[in-house]
Amino acid sequence: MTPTAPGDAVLLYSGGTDSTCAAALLAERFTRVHLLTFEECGTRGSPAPLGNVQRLREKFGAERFRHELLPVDTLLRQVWYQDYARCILRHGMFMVANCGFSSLSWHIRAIVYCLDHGITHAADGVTRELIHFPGHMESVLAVFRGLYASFGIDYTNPVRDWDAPPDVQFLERLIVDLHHAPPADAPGRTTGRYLFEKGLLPHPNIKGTRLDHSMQHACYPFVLFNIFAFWCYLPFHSYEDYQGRMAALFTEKADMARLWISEYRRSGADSPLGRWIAEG
Amino acid sequence: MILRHLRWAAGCALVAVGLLLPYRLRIVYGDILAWFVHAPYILFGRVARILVDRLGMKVPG
Repeated sequence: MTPTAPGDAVLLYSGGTDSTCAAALLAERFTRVHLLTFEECGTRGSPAPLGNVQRLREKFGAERFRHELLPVDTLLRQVWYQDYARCILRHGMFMVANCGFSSLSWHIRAIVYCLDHGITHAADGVTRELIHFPGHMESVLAVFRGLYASFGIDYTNPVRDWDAPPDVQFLERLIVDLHHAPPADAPGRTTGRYLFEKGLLPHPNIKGTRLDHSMQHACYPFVLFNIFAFWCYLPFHSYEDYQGRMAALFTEKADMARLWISEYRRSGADSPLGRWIAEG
Repeated sequence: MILRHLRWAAGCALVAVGLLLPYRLRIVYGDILAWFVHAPYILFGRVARILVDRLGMKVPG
């Protein structure tokens, strides 16, 4: 049995403003933070978040952060397509929610990482923005929290209730990037402001700038999902209904994942999940 | 109202195709859709950048 590491925490890390802020907050509570960035077919062209990992190491100490790039294609394919025909019959077009399946595959991989390293605390940089994404919905986050808890892991969202910066319009952003002008600042406690005050970012709001794109690994491709959400479903149904149906889908998928992880706990690398992880 | 239903029909057709595709093809399909969705903005951005340069616009403030 792996000894526990009470001073360690895992963070699902894209390298963007929110997850970098979460990393800085965890560094104040834990001795070592394991930053996990997940690669999949749809995001392989986007940069690894090495710049912000370096900034965190310079600020808090190199030994405080361990960064891992973990491929999850095989696992994601299983999350998405296992029992596919039945899922289509039960959930219909909700099965196009690839961003939610990506999130679930990262959480499964993060739980396995925690089990392998004896870590009992996991976190991510989820905020209250983009709440049409399953991985940002309160009901689906509760499902994920339950999945972690099944394996003795405490899963938290340390920047969930922080203020969101204002949207920056296209023409403003054009001027920002062309002339290096500072974008609109945001009132309140935002993740960007926190990083700016810590000396980790050049401005309190860099979201959407070229710097932002260059320092962040893309999370998932989502155009097809957005078409479903904004053209097919949300114009005709309430958000509560949408969230409820999404939670039903992800409860089923999380139950499936619970069985996989339990089997992994018993058989390790010889289990199906162990093999999918090894395949990358 | 008509536009909303037209978008629903187009959306359903696009999503139905996606649901039938295997993993990697679905990713490629999404990339192709993303290219079409973003193309007008990218094109407008290029024109706007040329205009901003030619007009010698300064940073506000």
